[in-house]
Amino acid sequence: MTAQHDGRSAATDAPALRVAGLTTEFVTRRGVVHAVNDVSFTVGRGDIVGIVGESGCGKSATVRSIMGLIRSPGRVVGGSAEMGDHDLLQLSRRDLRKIRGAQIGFVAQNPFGSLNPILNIRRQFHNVVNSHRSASREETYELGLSMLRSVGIAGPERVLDGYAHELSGGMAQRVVIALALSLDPALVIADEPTTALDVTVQRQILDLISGLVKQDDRSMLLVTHDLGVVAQYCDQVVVMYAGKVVEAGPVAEVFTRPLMPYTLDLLEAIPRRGASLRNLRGRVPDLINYPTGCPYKTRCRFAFDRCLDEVPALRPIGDGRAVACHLNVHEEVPELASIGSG
Amino acid sequence: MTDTETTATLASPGPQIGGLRATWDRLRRYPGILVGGFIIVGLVLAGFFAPLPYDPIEPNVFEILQAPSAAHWFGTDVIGFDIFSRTIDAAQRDIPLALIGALVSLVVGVPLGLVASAKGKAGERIMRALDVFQAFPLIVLSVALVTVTGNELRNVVFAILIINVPRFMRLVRSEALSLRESRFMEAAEAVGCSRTRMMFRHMLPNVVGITMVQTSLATAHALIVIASLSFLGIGVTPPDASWGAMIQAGARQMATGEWWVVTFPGLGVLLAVASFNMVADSLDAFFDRSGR
Repeated sequence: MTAQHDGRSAATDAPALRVAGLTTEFVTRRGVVHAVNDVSFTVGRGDIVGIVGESGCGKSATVRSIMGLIRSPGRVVGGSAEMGDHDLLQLSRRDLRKIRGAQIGFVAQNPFGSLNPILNIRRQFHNVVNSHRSASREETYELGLSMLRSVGIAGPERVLDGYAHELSGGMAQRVVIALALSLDPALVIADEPTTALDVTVQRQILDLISGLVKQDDRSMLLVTHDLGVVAQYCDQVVVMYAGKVVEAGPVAEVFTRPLMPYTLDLLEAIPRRGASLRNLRGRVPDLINYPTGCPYKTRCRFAFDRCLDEVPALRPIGDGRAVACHLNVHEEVPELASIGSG
Repeated sequence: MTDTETTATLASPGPQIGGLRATWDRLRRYPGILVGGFIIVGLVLAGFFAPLPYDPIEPNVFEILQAPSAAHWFGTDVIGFDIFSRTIDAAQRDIPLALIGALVSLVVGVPLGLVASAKGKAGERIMRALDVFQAFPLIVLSVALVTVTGNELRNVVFAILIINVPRFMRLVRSEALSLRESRFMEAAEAVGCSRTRMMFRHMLPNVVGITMVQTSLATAHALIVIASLSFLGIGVTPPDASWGAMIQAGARQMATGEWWVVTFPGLGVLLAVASFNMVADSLDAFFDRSGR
């Protein structure tokens, strides 16, 4: 891959995706659900960025907002998502359509859901390519063959003539990845790509997709709730809680020296051999009656009076890290400082 | 061994033939499609080509209202028409007319239904407007139509369209609305598929099964509409044979005991309608099992 793709050629230092102030709401009968609140992060060129957090913390809503896939009653009420010269959130439907697929590949959670059940795989390749340029059936067939080979499918001819229900979960997700990469996008967004799969194939799929991303110098935004996956595959991590970014930075740094108590709690909740299983007490706050102050205050073991009514802003603290917490953790809480060694 | 197998696989003719073969194998498990289809095709072919014992439009005034006998299998009516000949002859008019009505409804209704599904609020309003339109009694509407534009066959087709196009639209729209929520439609959107493309390349194939079932049901219904209208003297006009008109011609004899005049054309309608319903029923099972 040389610098032929506009997504990858221009100004090498510009990030692949820069999200700033992204805010998304869902208007329901019970009230407004504040699903994504002022979310900002950057996906550097060639980086794999992981978004982690508990269920319902706005991870999927964030990537869906970026992709323009939020449907009524949801709406993106503010922020920007810059990719190259474009702000994805400001583009017309038409212009956004040209970018989706061609410059951003999307891999969703459930591979069987993502494949049209009654079109054969060959037709689906044809549809993806022809959504962007007109190509003959022969051409898309050849492309399908080579894409399926690149995701490690033996006998791609048979798969192309088959249907989604004939595939195993791992195979289906490979096909979805092949479809997502078939137009050579510079950025891949994967929304929990292995959650629906057997544990045994999760690793294969993640190895595959991260390999393909790195090999062709793409960038990837990987949504997951598995910190192990982040540790193994990601360069940067964005920790989300209650629709907010609470901590962000290089994986190695964040995981060895977490600055936000939530990150610490998540890391401690990873099951370890020989240790009793710890879980997080409490639950994610109600996103309709959004709490005042720090959203994590009710569960935080270090919470103090300032956390009750003052919202901690996400503040950069050097080394490419940022944290939204009132604690000056390393001075005040020795436990946090020593987590790396423990 | 492996070698020959590989060669055999490679040399086997294209997937279409295998596809046809597989489709046939599956079809055989739903005999209703084949039996119903066979009866319908048989009726139409008989209507067009079967040698009839008497000329269906040539009455014999010396043999009126004869009971079924070896000479007149289904008897004769009040003018002296041979009812067997006319019952068979009517199939070549009534069934194709019903099919045309149903197919035109399909061709018009399906795209409109897809479009209505994409239009949100506007689509909702269109459907409500159609509901109002449909609440109007069909027979009255058809009589009014004929009064204004003249008694022509295309008015019968028009009447069938008025009933069936909204039905197709409603069916396709509701199906499309639920499809829109599916993950694969979102995936299609995420790869930059245009709305039109999503509609016709992703949704349309998913509604084929259900629209085929509806087409069969619509044809059955159209047969009844045609019979009702020709009972009222709209559409096929004597001396051309039509089941509805034949029933009408025999209605008065019901009271005087000449039952055969209405019974046999009535059985004709029954057989044709039942066959289409049988096809619809089996198609439903067929697509339900193989489709999703």
